[in-house]
Amino acid sequence: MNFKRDILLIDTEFSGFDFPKKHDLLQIAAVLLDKKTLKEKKSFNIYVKPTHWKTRDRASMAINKISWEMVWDAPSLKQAIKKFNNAFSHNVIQASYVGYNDKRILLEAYKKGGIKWPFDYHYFDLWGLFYGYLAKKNQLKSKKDFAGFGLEYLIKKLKIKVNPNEMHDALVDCRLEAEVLRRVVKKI
Amino acid sequence: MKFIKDILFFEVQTTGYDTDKDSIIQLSAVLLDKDNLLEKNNFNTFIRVSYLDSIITEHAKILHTDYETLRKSPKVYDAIKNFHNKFGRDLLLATHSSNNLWFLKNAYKKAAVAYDYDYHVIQLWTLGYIYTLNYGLNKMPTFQTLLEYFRLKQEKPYNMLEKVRLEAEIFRRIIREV
Repeated sequence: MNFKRDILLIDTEFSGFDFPKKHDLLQIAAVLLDKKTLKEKKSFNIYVKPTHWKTRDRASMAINKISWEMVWDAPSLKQAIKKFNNAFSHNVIQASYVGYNDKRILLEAYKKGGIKWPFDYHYFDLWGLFYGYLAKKNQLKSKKDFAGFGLEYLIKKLKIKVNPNEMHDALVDCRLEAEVLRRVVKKI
Repeated sequence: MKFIKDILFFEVQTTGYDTDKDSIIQLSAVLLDKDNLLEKNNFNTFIRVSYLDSIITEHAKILHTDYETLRKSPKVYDAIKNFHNKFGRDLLLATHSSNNLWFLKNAYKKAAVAYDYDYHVIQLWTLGYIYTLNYGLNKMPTFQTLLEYFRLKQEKPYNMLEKVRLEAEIFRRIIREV
């Protein structure tokens, strides 16, 4: 295995889908995976101070489990994006579990932070890769499975150990996604 | 092999690469059966995005069609409405690269049609890259690379229906061989 570039696996947590109008980006995390081994070379994790805390979406907050105590003194969106932007080389393949949402939110965040989007268009959307793999192995049995086919489902299938209370922290999820990627890549 | 929902592969021809500023001028799709990945339905339309003769002529050139055909083609609202009505929403979208999805979402927005598909999407490029990498192709693949790898021939590179059928074939082969 030898990807042409290192892979930057990114995950975000937010207070709802209506960002930036009504909701906030609350956490950005990323792990840089070596292009030859997929081993973690570097990680990044930052909370972001919200500006729409009162209008946070309860369902989203129940998933991300981020409390006011975790973000009240965090850097502003602009500061957080600046730090993220400086943390890694931009000559990477970006990757996310479900790419569209994370990328849309990051693009908006860069725009709001007044920083030009520095990455190119090469982007791994990992969900489709994992879905194809599970379908081939006949491990998708029902529509109920499909609707619930999240990261938890994959972790259970691949017998990856994790503390359930830690899931949906963006950095923990990044590392789990990286482990799923390592295992699936070997089998494809 | 068994997928949970039918898979709708789609492809777009656009006026440029900027997902915010440029527009879709051809939208093509093939619906693949969830049990065997065979094509069970398809969709193909040009989209007229301007009333100006010069613009229509310019876009007709990109599409390798004539002015009159494009002039009579549906506007984005009708094209998207037809696309949406033809297949419904109980399916999974698939496409070669993420930019296509941005273009499609923006077209829904322009057409004021609710985009209500599942947010999961199969991106062929990710699957194609990892598959060909494991089989010794040591480069970052383009669509052309995948065609060459699977020995598929593209007769008309400007024809999005042909392109989306080739994407579906690449997907079938990867899934069959994994």
